[in-house]
Amino acid sequence: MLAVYIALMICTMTPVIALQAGADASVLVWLVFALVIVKAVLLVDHFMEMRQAPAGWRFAAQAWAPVVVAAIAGFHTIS
Amino acid sequence: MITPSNNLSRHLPGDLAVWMFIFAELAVFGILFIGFAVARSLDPATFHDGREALHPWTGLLNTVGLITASYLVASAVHRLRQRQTGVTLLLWSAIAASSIYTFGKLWEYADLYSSGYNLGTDTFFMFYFFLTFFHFMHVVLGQIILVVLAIKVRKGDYNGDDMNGMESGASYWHMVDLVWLVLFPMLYVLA
Repeated sequence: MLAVYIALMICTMTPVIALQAGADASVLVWLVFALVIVKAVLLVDHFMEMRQAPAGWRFAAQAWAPVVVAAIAGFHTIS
Repeated sequence: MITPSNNLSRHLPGDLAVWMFIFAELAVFGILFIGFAVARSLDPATFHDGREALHPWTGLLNTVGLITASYLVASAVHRLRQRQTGVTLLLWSAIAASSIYTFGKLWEYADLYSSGYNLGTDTFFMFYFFLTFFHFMHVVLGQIILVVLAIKVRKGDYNGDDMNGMESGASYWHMVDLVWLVLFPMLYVLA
């Protein structure tokens, strides 16, 4: 559980620090999208304990963030 | 790999009704987030300028508070299931950690409002105030639920025999955290 917490912290701080350090915006955007999905899957599986839930419920809970992020990324790309 | 035999031992953490509520909430937030993305695609310059007025370190601090609270709540559920002590302390610690978010967000609202930003400033701030305040209200409800859980554990109402109430409250809390994990970078980094 502690390892998941540390991973979530690292995933959270990385894009903000990269933004402050002046990282290339186009790279940063995709890094953020990827990290959000990683964080959401970690949170759903370990903190929400959905890894022990029936497969359909687990899939539905895990799918929310990737679906929303994919939609946001799609509109981000066309702008 | 999920097989029929181990699928029988699988269970949804918490009450089915709470999960229906959680998925309804996630659907609403998802639609609002996509609305934000559509609006941003139509006027990226306004959203970029709006993001520049925000404080990314406050947003980061809020995120640290919420993730820490989620970790403490998950630990409390685990300890209660194992019938270990310290569950009440973990829940009160989670409430304290989540207060970093509530106070940080209130400070941010006050700072932006005193600088002349409000719901009517532009499309970015309309979304910013609406989305974050909608989420803020969910956090406050989550904190109330955590207080109730802490009191019930203290009184011995939850002792590890029946985890349904504790798991339901914890699942709601984690949903609030899950929403913020998308909302935070969307407003503070990507806009």
